[in-house]
Amino acid sequence: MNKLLAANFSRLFKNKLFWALTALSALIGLLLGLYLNTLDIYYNAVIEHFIFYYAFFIGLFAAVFCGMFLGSEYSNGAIRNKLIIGHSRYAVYLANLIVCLAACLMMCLAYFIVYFILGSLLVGGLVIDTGLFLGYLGTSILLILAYVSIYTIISMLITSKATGSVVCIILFIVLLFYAMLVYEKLNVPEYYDNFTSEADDEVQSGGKQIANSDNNNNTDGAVYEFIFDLLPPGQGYQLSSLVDGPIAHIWRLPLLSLFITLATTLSGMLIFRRKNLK
Amino acid sequence: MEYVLTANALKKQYRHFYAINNLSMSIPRGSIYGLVGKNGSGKTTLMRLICGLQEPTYGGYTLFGVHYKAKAINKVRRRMGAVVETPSIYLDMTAEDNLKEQYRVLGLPSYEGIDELLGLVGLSDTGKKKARNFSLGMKQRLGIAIALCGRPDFLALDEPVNGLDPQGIVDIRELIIKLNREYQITFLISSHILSELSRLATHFGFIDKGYMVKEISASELEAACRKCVRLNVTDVNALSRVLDNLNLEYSIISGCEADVYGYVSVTELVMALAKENCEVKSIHEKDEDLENYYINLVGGGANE
Repeated sequence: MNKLLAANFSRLFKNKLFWALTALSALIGLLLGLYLNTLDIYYNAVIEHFIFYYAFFIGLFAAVFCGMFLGSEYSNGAIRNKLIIGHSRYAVYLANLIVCLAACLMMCLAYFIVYFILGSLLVGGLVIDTGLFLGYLGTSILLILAYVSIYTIISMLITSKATGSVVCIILFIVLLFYAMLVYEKLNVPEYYDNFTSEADDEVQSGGKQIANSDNNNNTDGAVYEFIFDLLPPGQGYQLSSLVDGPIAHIWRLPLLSLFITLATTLSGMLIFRRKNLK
Repeated sequence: MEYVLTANALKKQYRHFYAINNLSMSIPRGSIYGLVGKNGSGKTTLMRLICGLQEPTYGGYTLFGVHYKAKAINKVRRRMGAVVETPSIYLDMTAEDNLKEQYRVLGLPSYEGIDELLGLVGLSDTGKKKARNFSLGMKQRLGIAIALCGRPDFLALDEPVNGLDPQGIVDIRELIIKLNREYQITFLISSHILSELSRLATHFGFIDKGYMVKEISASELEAACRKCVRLNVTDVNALSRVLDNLNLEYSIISGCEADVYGYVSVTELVMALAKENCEVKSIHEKDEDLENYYINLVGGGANE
């Protein structure tokens, strides 16, 4: 597999899309670093607020990159060159997974470095507990692995580059919308005010508090929380919005990412092994 | 005889359709094996099976004596190269970069031999030109160059001259002959351009509807396709005596038919046969080529 990795990495570093997405990632880091400085005017902003923001946008970046990078193996027929000379299908699959993971990690690193340097200069260094910081960092890395595993199985099983890329992007959008729906459900208030009035641009509420029928009971709430933690965009949102507070289930997120990775990769390898290639 | 590839009762089924059906074949080492068949006869499927891109449904094959399911097959596959259907090349890379990429896939320690390979396929002067800007013939030659990385002993080429202009066809033909003679590379070439294949191949396999209809060497084919006069007579024993007396080469086809090779004086022959009380019922010249042979083999009613 080392030979395949060497070949894949060599191709990666010549890939224009990879460099474009890495540059875009760094640009987002730059913009958020500057935005952090703006926030600092209103309240005491700290660098951790957006330090894991890459966990949010990497889902889309990985969808675009994996679909195109792995899809070109099929569109050019180059995957055949690897199999004809005797590389096993497992090795081909894993090498592709690893190079996509490395590419996405490098994109995130570009964001991280730019944001961290700029943020440190503007609002100061980390104030978060080091253990917690490393926990979040590990969680974000496993989240990227989960994303890449999902997109790898799609790109390795759909032999059309265009279709594979579109499916990856649509899947990300669907998961994102579903995560947003679940988030909305989770944030339904338990009670609402008896009346509200808007006069002279001023909202007033009051009266007796009424129980909200849309509010989830304990069981429903736990299910929604689990789904939100399971969905990669849900995890990404939690990691990217530390400004709203710490992550509730810090141990559950990496375990769920690991589960997604193992489930998709093992099934992907088994299906790819039996796949008829043209 | 040593064989590079042997297939035994190979079958490939897609749902209810057999693309390859009970196919057996043997490719001798050092040969150029021409796989002849019409579109949809199973040539490309056979290539895919041999290249490990697909698995047979039943039966099996051996490559350099190693069964396709054996653990050692992955090692043995390093000794083969292939261009199946379209050449497998990265279009956004130069010819040299494509070869370097394949060198890395093979794990070769250095890029030694790349210039030689480019020269061999006539792509030395392509410089920084990306493969997407190559002509079809250049892409085909680059595909062959990639397949040649790692100095394989066996090369499988699927329709290598499809869509090429006359010069491109000549270039590919000369390249194949050169590689076979100078580098002792065994070839499996599928094509339905029979005139082209007849100039190259040392062995032929005729495939139709997934079956191997016939395997024949070029010399056997030449003998079968030799120019001759086919005689239909009332007494084949008398014909045999007369032909022996006239020192003519012949072969008896049936109880009333024989093929006579070389120059035949029809008047002399008919008069001699008349003396033996043998009547000549019909006489016609037979001049078969690969195309006729193939049509007779698979195109008639016999295989319908």
